[in-house]
Amino acid sequence: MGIVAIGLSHHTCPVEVREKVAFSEGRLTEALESLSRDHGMTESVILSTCNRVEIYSFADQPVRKSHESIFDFIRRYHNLDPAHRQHFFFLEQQSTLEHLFKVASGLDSMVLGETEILGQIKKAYNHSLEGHFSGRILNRVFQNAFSVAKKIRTETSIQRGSVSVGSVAVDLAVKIFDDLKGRKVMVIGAGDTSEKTARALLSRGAHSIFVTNRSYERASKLASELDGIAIHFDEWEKNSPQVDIIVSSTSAPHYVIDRQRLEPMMSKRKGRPLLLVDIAVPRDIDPDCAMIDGVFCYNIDDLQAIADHSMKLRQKEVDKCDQIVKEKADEVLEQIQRGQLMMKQRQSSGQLNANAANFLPSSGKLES
Amino acid sequence: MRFDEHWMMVAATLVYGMAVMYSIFLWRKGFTRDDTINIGILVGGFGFHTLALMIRAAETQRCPINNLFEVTMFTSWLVGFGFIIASFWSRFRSIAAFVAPVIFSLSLMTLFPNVDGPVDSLRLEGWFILHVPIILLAYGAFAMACVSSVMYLTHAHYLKYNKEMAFWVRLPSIYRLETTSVMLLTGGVILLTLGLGLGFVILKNTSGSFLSQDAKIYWSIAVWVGYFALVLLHWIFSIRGRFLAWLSLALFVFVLTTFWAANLLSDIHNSPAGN
Repeated sequence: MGIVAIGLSHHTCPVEVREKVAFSEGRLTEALESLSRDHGMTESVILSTCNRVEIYSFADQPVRKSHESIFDFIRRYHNLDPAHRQHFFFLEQQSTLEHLFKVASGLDSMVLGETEILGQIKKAYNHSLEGHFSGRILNRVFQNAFSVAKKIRTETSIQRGSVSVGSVAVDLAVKIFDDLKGRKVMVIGAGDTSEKTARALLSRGAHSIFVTNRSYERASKLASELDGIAIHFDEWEKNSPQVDIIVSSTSAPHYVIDRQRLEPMMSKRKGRPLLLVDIAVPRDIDPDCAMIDGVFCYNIDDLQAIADHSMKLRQKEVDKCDQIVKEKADEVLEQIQRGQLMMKQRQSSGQLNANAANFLPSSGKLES
Repeated sequence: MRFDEHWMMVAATLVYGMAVMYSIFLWRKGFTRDDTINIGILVGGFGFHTLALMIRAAETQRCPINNLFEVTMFTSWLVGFGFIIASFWSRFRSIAAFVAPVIFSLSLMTLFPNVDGPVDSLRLEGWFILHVPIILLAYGAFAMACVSSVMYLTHAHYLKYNKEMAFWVRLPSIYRLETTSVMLLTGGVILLTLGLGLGFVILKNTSGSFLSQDAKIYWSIAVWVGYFALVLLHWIFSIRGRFLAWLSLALFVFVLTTFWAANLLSDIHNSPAGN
């Protein structure tokens, strides 16, 4: 009997396999019921995200049997070929706890130290808790996973810095403007990276977005997705004095913004700073623009260098995090095992009392 | 040997000097973490400084702002007090490295010979009671504006030319630093206008004229014109950014380097002791 985990992730298989095994949110309860009713799992939590599908369970049966039962459930539920077994990992006891704690802390994520996964685990756990599929054992395990994630976040630098070009651009914008609320952004070129950067700026409170592209159609499409305003490519300069951040990612072979063009724009801005984010290759913004007072210019190499440095700093922290995870997993497993032992003792003494109680009336009858 | 306010100021200046040395180290290293050590050193110096002020106040039974020694001691204490308040905000903790040279320079001036002369009893009554502290508050505001401007220039330099370091530097945003500088400069000009206005009233009451041929008065008017022009340039002509920060720094350096000489050359502010 013990805690087990079965799953697959971006480490073990490609997205073609992950999407076959994913559990839709609407059918989670049904899946948990099946695990409990048909496969003998006392407690279960199903974590299904775009990068991983993992089932954490506790059952009063040997771990090998639990592994087989859960895999059988997954195979039947998703109608999988048995050959898919090679993509799954099978964990038990200590390794289950260590894995969950690492996942919750973002140590197993595609982007090391990311925090989104913690929210997804909390959601998965709450789903099981509300449906009474998580009990005494998994409650303890998951609560500890959340506290480990918090400890790692506060005691190490695993989440320090930004590791994507978009988030680096946002952090630099905050260093210039303090608060992005009410700041206006212009996106020149409707590419994928500029869209991500614009979304990152919007998520931090940027007010409105102007999108311009050589193809007005693409500009309108991205503008409607970002809840922004599309403008014709030959009109972007007219709108530029009111914007605070320009993100440029066109495929133009020449500079889209140069010093001659920017200087008159800056004089209309009355000294307000301007952040230029150039994520195009070849570059869209003439580096000479940075010489103008109040203009802060970053190209893709500047942003990538910061992101890489952040990642290196995070990687340096991994050993420290692993140590925290291991210590906590040892402690939690010991608590669970002690609890189970005490429960068994209570049950056996309860059984003795029950036997005695059963015996007493008869003995009472005998006495009478 | 009695440990009076002068000895306390010597102790405070020495500790501030240590903070300046540590600040040089921080400047070289970059402001990538909270400089709690520097804050601790400055708070230590501020403790001695406060003691010096309290001893002086207890001895004279009045606010110690009536001769060059007291004025300099009080102004630098105000800057220190501003620093303590600012360091409550985590984003402003790096201010210690910027404020240390200002407090150290001011405190060093209190140790110069002959600054602690006798106090004219006239200075202890009437409008004088308000004239001096209001002007001191104005100079305190200009000192903090200078600190904020240097922080602005440092942060803007990192953001423009040392981009990777800029990401890790723990300095307030340049927008916040500029806003702080403008607020302090505007507040300082209002206070200086009030203080100087009171000075002219005092002059009229004592000598019958609003103006006197005095080095300190001309110097004060020059300082007022400088700061007033700066504030006007910002509010009317939208002068901002590095230009504003450099002007704020230059003006305060002028005040710092000429204040003492202006006092010594002044007949009415240095007779028998100046402010």
